[in-house]
This record gives sequence, C-alpha cells and structure tokens, in this order.
Amino acid sequence: MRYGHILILVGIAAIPASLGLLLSLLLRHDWLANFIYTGRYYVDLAWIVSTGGIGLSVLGGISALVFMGISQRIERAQAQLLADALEDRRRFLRRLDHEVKNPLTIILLSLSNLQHSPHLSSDESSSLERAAQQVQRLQKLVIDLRWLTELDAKTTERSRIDLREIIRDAVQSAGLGKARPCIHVRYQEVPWPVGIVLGDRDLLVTALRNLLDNAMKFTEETGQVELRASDDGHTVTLEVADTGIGIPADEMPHVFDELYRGQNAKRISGSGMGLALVHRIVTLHHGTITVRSREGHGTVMTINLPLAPGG
Amino acid sequence: MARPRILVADDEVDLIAELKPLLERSGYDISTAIDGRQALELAQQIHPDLIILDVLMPYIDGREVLRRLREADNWTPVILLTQVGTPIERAMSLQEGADDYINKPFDPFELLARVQAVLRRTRHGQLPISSYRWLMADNLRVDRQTRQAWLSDELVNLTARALGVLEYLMLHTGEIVPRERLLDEVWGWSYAVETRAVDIRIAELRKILGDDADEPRFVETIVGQGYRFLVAVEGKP
Repeated sequence: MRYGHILILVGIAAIPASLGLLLSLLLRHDWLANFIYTGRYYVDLAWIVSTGGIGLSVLGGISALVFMGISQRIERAQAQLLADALEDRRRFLRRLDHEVKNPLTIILLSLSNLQHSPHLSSDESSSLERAAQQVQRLQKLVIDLRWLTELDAKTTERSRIDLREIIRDAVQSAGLGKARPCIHVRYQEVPWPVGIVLGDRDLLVTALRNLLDNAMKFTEETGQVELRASDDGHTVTLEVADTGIGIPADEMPHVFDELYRGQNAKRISGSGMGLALVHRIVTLHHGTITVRSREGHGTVMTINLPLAPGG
Repeated sequence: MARPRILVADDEVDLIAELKPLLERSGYDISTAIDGRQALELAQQIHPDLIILDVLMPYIDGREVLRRLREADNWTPVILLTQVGTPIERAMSLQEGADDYINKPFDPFELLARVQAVLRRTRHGQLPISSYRWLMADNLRVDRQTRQAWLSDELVNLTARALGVLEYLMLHTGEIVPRERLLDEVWGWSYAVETRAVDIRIAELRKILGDDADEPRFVETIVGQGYRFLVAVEGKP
C-alpha cells in the first residue's frame, strides 16, 4: 500500500472522530440540545450527527477502497503494457539479429575472398576495404541493439564500487588518442570522499565514458569538458558538462531514444546508441539521468545514483 | 603430409561457397553438407579431422548432430557456428561436447585462428576438455557447475566475470586469447565495454591466485596481443 493510500484511509477514519469530538463539545456546553421537539416528534440530534458521521466514513471508506483497487489495476495494466512492449521489441530485435547474421557473415567472407584476388588494382582494394568497414559498422549496430535489449538485472553484477575508481577509468579511456578538449575533474568541495554505490563496475565505467566521449565529440578542441562528482548522503551525483554545440530544445525529449541523432549532430560520426545505452545502464542501477542544454552553448548530463547502504 | 580435412555443415549454400575457398587457401581439404542428416552421414564416411557445424539447420540441428556424434563415441573435434547471444547459452554448447564455438557474424581470420587452435589442442579419441565439469591446473580447481574455484583446497572468492575469464583461459590453455575475444565470450558485450575491463579482471584473478604479472605462474600477459594460461589443464567429470 502506498503512502498516499494510507493518508486517505487515516483521513476517512478522522471524519467520525472529529464529528464525535465536535458533538461532545456542543453538548457539554449546552450549545446543542440533545433533543429537539419539532411539534410532533422529538428528534435525537446527537444520534443523527454521530450516525451521519459513521455513514459518511463508511461510504468514504468504500469509495477509497474502490479507488485504490482501480488505481492499482490501472498501474498493473500500465506496467504490463510496458513489459509487453519491451518483450515485443526484444522479439523483433532477436528476429532481426538472427536474419541479419547469416547475410553479414557471407558478405564478410566474400570480401575476404575478394581481397585475396591477385588482380586487384589499388582503387579496387580500397573499395573493398571501405565495404568491409561499412559491414563491420552494420554488424556493430545490430549487436549494440541486441545487447541493449538483452541487458537486464540478471546479467549485471552488484558489488560495492568506489566511484572514484569509475571516474579514473572512464577519464583514462575516454577519447584516447584523439585531439580533444581538456577534461577537468572536480570532486565535491566537502571533506568526505564521494560515496560507494552498488552496481556493475564495467557498466558504470561504460556509461560515464560514453558521456565523456559524447561531450568531447561535440566540443571544440578549445572548449571545456568538466566532470563533477558529489554526494548528499543519499544520492551520488555525477555531472558531465561541456561547452559544445548543445541540443535544440525540441530534440531534448528524444536524446535517450535508440538510434536518435540530433540535427546538428549528423555531421559528427556516431551510431545513435550511446545515450540510449547510458540511460539503460543508469536505470538498471535504480538511478536517473537528466539533461540540460542550451543550443550553441553547451550541455550538462546529470546522473543520480543511490548510495549503497553504509556507503 | 596430408592436408587436414574439414567437414563444413551449414544450410546457407552461399556461406559454404565463400567459406570453402577461404579454408582451402589456408591449407585444408573441405567437404560440405547442407543439413544435419548429411553432416552425420559424411562424418561417419570421411572421418574428417574437424567439423564446423552450424547450429540452426533443417532436419537435425547442429546441437543434435553433435549429441549423436558423441553418443556414437565419435570425438572428432567440432566448432559450432552459433547464433545465440548470451555467454550462458554459448557455454552450454561447450558442455554438450563442442570443442569451441564462434558466433555469427564472425571475422574470417578469427575462424581460421580457432580452427588452427582446435586442431593443435585436440587429443584424438578423447572428450574435449570443455565438456568436463572440473578443470584442474596444479593446485587450482574450478567447478564449472557451481561456479566456484579452489586454490590449494581453499575456496577463493572471485566475481562471476573473473571466474568466467579464468574458465575461458583454462579451456584455451596455451593459446593467446585477445582481450576482445574475452569481452565477447565472457561479457558478451565486446562493442560496448573497454578492453581495460578485461585487464581489471585479470588483475583481480592474479591477486586472488597470488600470481605475479612479472613472473607469472598461471596467466601471462602477451604485450599487444592478450593473455595466455600457462599451466596444463586436466578435465574431470
């Protein structure tokens, strides 16, 4: 039972109690006569008020129970609809994955055989090389999509993780070997270390690295990327802020959708899977991710994760 | 010296048509089958040195072909071409008696490397090590069923992924296993996760097994290539 439901029931129980209290006060001070003579009958006012109160609370109670029952059913139906939609998508991606695997394997083998032909010009070799790269890109996309839908609580580890290690690993691996803006890492300005979370180390590193990769990809070399970490005793907050191209306001609701690519991001390479993956990982850790952005100025991605007990 | 003969069974004729020249160029004689029944018949007739078996085939699927071969005491090494995604599903293929598996779509050179490795490590007429429950190397024991490991009879506390890495390296002892392959096989996420994740698990393994990276007893780092398990591994049912 939800906290709100308990409040409703307490409220309903308070109706007869408050009416009884009011009645006893009125009677005690003789502000209300026990009986009123109407000219033909004696009317017992106390009885009417108390019985009316009980009647009202019984009616209210029944209504509240019916309301709670209906709202629980609606919630269950909504959860079922969501689960069905997710399962439908999984089935579709499994089929797609399955149907695409054999053609991709054949194309990879064909290209490999062609590359061994002794009569290839250098232009033809380059074309084959490009074709092989594009097949690998397609292969990666299919595997990423499949992986995203298969990723669930069963396949994730849950161990106590020091977020400073996650930050160190993610910063080390983000954008390695590329010209990139400098990453500034700033921890909270309080004297305790950022807390411990329960989760999957590899997945959390992946999520943070993806955010850093994105921030660097969409920021000029002269720009800045800042990683901030803090905790308030209940929640750890990780923020990746950049001075990059930003996200147009009308695209904000879609940034975590699979395969979504913003209009101003299309000239920069990417699969459109990175943020969807980050969202899935954060959700699996019972956390939230939000985005704030000003087009042309920059973006701030904020991950909130619950601290581990005793963390 | 005769060229090793490989039987390739897959219902995709185009795949066979492309796989055949690739393997022939690499020094193997190739026979082909386009369904499970034909694969079983040919396996009995031509006695290949290795069978590459697609899992999804008409009439009798690859897994059933493998089971029937093993029931008939035929221990020809088998590499399964799998379509399944999760490492658990793929590990099941090994327990059914396959010597190795490779997930479609595969890099042609990766398949050639697996073929060479399987032919090199095969012990003729014996169960593949991957079908045993227990793996033993010196004072290290791994129970693949309960997912536990012991060092000098003392239970060691390994994370699921570190144990997965140890198991995979032990099953491929003596081979250089690239980080990407470990990610693919143990994590199942070769594209999303950094290869550094593998290094972290190897460091965890070394710490718990008391292994020294500079003078390794169990796991050796081959710079720029991957990791290699150094000790001979025995299997026990």
